[in-house]
Amino acid sequence: MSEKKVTVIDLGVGNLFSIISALKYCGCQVTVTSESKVIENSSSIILPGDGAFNYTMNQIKKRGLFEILKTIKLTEKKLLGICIGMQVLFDYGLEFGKTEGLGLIKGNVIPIPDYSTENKKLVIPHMGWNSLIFSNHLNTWEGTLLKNNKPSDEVYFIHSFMVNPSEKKSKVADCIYGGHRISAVVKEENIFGCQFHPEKSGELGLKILREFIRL
Amino acid sequence: MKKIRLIGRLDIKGPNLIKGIHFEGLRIIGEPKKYALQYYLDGIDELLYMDTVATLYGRNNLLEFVKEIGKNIFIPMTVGGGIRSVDDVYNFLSAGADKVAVNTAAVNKPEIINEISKRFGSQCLVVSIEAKRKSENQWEVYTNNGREKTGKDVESWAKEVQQLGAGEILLTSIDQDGTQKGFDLNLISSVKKNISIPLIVSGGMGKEKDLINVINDCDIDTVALASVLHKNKFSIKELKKILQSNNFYVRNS
Repeated sequence: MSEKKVTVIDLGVGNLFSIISALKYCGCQVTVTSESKVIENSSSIILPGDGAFNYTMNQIKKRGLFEILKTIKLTEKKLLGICIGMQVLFDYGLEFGKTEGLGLIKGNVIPIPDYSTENKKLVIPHMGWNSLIFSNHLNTWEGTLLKNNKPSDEVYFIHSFMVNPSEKKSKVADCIYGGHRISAVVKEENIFGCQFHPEKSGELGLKILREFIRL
Repeated sequence: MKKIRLIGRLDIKGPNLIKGIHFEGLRIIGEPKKYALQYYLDGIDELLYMDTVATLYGRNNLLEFVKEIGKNIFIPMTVGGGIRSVDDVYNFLSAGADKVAVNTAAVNKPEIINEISKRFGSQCLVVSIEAKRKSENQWEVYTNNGREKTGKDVESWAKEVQQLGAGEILLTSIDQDGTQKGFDLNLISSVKKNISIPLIVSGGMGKEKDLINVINDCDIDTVALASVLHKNKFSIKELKKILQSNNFYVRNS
């Protein structure tokens, strides 16, 4: 079997080293790019992210990647957004004012509540290992990125904002923080998103990347 | 149920993993890469690499090490020792580290705490405090891997670094470090009571009871371990079993 090819989008922000290392470790041939031509010729694309929503969107536009990403559903390509890379898949974000996102998944991006459901001050960012659970309407992860994972598997989060999908079919997995349900994995046709960092989540995180590559 | 986070701490000098007692009499343990990988595979929650001679020689030599080890280790990693500027932090984060630990530079120039946390977010900044007992209820801050005293009081310094934007504090007891005689519970309690950011405690773990005591008596949930792991007194799996049997929650990997 030939090596699977994966393209990682470089927005010039944050740390790509870990995601590239993890993909290579999973046996991928990795291309790092910020050119739309290269993305056009890729079938498997990862949009990593670090930093703020509006900044990330500006970087996407500055590099002329807005159109190709916004229309990606019309192609056979599959896309995985990680952390802020998942958040910009949604319609808009509210970090530093309202900013338009890629609109690939219906919903918006809002701050994690300051207080727990028991009215205790929450530590923000939500950072550290946390367990994945089924989103409300699901009782299996068969056919999703989490096919090889099980509920209570822990993955590594660092984020201050959370996605708020408006359609339940987009939700795959959540985690609980301060009593609040937070979307952890989302899906819409060939578009996928992880709020946590699969490249920092040990073997259980690598399983998720391998499943994305395999799809 | 309280969740406990275990961090593997590797003190590194040149190409070697080392361990001293009270930060002195450093002995070579082996190749750091081998130990880090073992701890990762055994299910450690995070790894911490400290360049013990970085401040002395004016630079941290772990950049290549972090890049190399990051090809096979996929959990959060913190690097410390000799980090003096925002650029140093940038270099380590770009090399695959998730956080940096700063001690000497923070003492010499406290504004750096604010600069780093503003630029990269407080979540990637650990302020490392090396504490040495002065009297029964007083501890002094040391820098340069326990080589220099600063005249600063540990308790007030901990409060100050939190104020300045530290994301976490790593508190190491020089008196207990490497002794395997238990944590300095008074020191840890005095710091814990005064801060709200996460506190990682280091120095002194030897017996099962030491671990349970520091968690219970000092309200601690994050422990950095070195000697007990390096000398294979306990494996990470054994430690997790011990914690579970004491009704603590640990990560299953």
